[in-house]
Amino acid sequence: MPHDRSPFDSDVALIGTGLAPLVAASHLLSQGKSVLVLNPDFDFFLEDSELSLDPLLPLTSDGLDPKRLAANLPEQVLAQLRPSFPGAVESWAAGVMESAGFHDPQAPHVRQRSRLWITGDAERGAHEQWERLEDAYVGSSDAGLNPKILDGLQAARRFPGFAATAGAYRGLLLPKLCEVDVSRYRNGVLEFVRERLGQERFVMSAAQIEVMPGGVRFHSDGKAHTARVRDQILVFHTPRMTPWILKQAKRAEVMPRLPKGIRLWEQWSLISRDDLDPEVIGTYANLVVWAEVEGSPSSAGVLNRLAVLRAGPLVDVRENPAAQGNSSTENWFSQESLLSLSSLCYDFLKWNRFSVRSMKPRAILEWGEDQHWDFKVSEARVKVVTRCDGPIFDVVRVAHQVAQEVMA
Amino acid sequence: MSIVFRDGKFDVVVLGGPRVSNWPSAGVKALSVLCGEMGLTVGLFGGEDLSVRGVIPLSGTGGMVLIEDIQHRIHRIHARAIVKVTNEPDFPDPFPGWRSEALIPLSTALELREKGRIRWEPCTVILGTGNPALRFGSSLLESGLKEVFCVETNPQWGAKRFAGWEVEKRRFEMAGGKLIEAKPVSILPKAALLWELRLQDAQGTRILEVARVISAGPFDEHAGVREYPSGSSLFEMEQSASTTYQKNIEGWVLEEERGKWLAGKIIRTLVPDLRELGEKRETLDAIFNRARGRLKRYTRHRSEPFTPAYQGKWIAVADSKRIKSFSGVPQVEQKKRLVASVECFEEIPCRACQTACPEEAISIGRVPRPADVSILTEDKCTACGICVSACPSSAIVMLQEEPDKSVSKLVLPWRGARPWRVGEFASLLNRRGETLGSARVIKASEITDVQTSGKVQQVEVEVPTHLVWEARGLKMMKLPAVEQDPVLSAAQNLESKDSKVEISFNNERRIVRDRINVSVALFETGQSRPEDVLLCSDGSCGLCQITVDGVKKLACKTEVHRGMSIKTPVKTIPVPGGPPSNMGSVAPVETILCPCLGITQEQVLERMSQGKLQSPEAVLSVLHVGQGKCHGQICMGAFKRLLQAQGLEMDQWVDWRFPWSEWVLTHN
Repeated sequence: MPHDRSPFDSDVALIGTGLAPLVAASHLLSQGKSVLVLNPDFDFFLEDSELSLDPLLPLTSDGLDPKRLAANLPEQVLAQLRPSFPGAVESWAAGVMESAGFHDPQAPHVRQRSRLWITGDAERGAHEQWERLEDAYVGSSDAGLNPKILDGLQAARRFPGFAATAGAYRGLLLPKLCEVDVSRYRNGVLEFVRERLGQERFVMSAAQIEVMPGGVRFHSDGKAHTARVRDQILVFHTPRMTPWILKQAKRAEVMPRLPKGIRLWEQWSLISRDDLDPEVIGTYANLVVWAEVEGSPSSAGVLNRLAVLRAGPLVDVRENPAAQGNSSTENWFSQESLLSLSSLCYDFLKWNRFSVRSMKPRAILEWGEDQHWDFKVSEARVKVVTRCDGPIFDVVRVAHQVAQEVMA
Repeated sequence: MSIVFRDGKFDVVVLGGPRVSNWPSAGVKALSVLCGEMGLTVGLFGGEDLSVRGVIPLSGTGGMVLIEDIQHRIHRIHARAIVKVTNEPDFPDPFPGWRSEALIPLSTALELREKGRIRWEPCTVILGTGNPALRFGSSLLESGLKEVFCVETNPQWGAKRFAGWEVEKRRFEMAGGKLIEAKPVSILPKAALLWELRLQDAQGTRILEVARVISAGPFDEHAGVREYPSGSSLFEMEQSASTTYQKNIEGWVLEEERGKWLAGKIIRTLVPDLRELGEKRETLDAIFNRARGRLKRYTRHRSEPFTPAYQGKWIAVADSKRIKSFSGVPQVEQKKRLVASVECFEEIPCRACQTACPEEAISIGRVPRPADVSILTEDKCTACGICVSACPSSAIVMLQEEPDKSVSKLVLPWRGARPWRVGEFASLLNRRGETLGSARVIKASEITDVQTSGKVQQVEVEVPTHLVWEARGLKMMKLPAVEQDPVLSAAQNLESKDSKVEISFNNERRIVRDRINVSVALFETGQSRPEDVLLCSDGSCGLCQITVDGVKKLACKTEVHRGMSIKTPVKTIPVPGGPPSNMGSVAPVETILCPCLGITQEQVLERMSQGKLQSPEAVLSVLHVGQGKCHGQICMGAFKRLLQAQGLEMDQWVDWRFPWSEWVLTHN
């Protein structure tokens, strides 16, 4: 490594895309560390890997673990988000007018909503599903989450978009969970970190990133740059970074710790003929359904866009899920996708037609028990940070923790 | 619901986007033929039977295309390279009133002109000065409309102050049109089917009473082919060709060359080793390089314009000499006999005259024009007049100059609604449409129906000899009363043979023509709404919803029949400028950029500066512009220009959000 000082020399180098490196950078900066952020993409949020809510899917005992459910309470979520945001994070009730006092309608917010899991008696696998929900009822009741079991129309009527007048259903309702305004939150963090770091230390479209003894080398704007890193190099593992991590692990001759796989998600936006109730987020089969609303409750107006998040298959992380010709893409916007949607809209919600306004595919890593792991390349210590995508409050929590570990 | 799903795979897929009516067009054919010849599998998806729903980009290169066929089967096609052909209407930057029913895109105006009986009097204003704008203005004037303005809102086109060809501008001005540089300020309703358009020019505010404002563009220089993200093999190509070559020559040749250039680029990307192509490789290289060169040169008329200077009504001496020495203009033969004069001074990609001439007397060539070849071979010209009719811009005349006599002969093309009669007197116009003098018609040929440029009559006039190089247009001196009075003229038009039926419109009786499109009927009866302006006819925008006999339908896809009851939904989004009940009120300053979602320009700018957003994806993630019902068909042009003005790199950006038009799935 050259001894000349480079404007990129830093205490910590953060390599990756998405919200996690930005949150980590924000915390490290606040503790007086100098930071270099290297993003291989031209935009931080191309992967769009932060979810506004925890899907709590698939419906397994892990998916409905009381601790995981409790992590979705507004107080818990705000406790994770507020320290990492350089401004106010508002808290809105789902359909209630603003309370007295000053509120910033442009600030990112946490919106309180109940969660409702519903099954129909006549559906295949309904019995097994219901058993899991009953277990979840017991567990969440013990955890003080005030769950309710609902039957028949009382259950179904609360589901966003439900238009029928009869039906045999059972549902588990957990009141006062929440979802997060991801867009404002992450753009706010991005703006803050970019302003603090300046153009030089905030590198977009960084190419050919290589770990060198004592630092990193990368290409930006057609030129090669070298940065000395005094403390640590953190790499935030999202699908985008997988090929790079595998390559570095091979170079370091270490076995990489990989996630269980990449879960393919489809986020649909459908148009509803009737107004939608923003109070509840429903789960039906492998679909999470809610009324799309932005901003404060008073500014929401008429709601008629139904968001549907569908859990697709889990594919091997070494396979690029979005690559062409990949067999795993058979389930991406596939016949199964449309059958799931039609089952939701026609069989359950009893619509006679639905209109697709938008569809976004997303790929998010799914982890087992794996924690962050280290390896050495050319005597440089690299820490690979896991769980950098998924529900936004989990991402922020992980990034905050890893920043604290660096400080420690 | 049963869904039939089919998977497929192609190397190259070419997709017809929303509003692409002419399928497959010239560029698409050129692209697909060349790719096929080089051994790639090519799929063309578009037209009425196949609705392309959108593209899902894949990581790396290529993407997945979702298509629904007429039998509602869904096809999922993997492609290594995708070309999306678009035909987006060009709307201007928003201003108060731009989303009223007064302002319609050129595509709608063309369709209304062809299929409808729309009133264009007292005045029609066209925003834009490209060839399609000037051509449409000329056709309105030639059909009898008294006043047409073409407004250039951004006079920065290389060395030119308007976007189109000089010959089209000449035709427009000779027909009586006025080309002005101004910015639209507001459109306010004034009376039934009458609007007040305010324009701001260098002299101040100009107020015009208009029946229609047509948005034709172009409003900025933009790439006809875009790839985004870079290296992804996902392309967007603009459709500029019409159904026939002659209807829009510039558009046709541009699209064709774009198709060839893009084919070359795709082949070079997808074929791993070009040596596999063998001898075809040389052909490919030649076509690719030629297309690339031509595309650069087709805008040469902007960097090397011909805009003659005038001294009063007369062309300045220097430019007059330049005209007379031009190689398309006869030097000798015109003193002996009638001979053609090809007065097409700019280098433009049009060869209609060369193609039409049976004697091969015209060698205008392609761009660049060969320097050592004379455009007109005077000896070969037999003055048959075919070139005069063939030129879509009326740039060719025939003349016999008799310097020893007081009168000479001039043969001019005439496209007016009423043909000339022998013995009539005509006003002679210069190339700017100013009256120079008068002349007598000594010969008037039968009208030729030239498919491209409509009905053309060749009119031979005796002109004062000193005007034979200045006069290039005709105007009727005296029209019958019925033709002079727009009301009488309109009344006469109504006495057509179209059968009419009675319908109910919002519980009021209306008489409309039978079997026409309901959208057109709404325009004819003055009941059109801002939502009807796109007239997309493929239903892709989904804005023109009406209730017909209790059933929701799209006005653009429904035909009128006797006794039908039409109801229009109540408006929920406010239109700047106010409805007719607010006549006379001042329009608000904020201008709505995305009318489907009510997002204003000011909101976009505020969010961009608050968040220091630096990519279009970031802006869209917070503002959702273009995610309304029309999926950006109205707002994305202005949105891109707004972001470009804020310093974002938008020239190559393509909106790949899925789906690209409303996708309604019904329960079978």
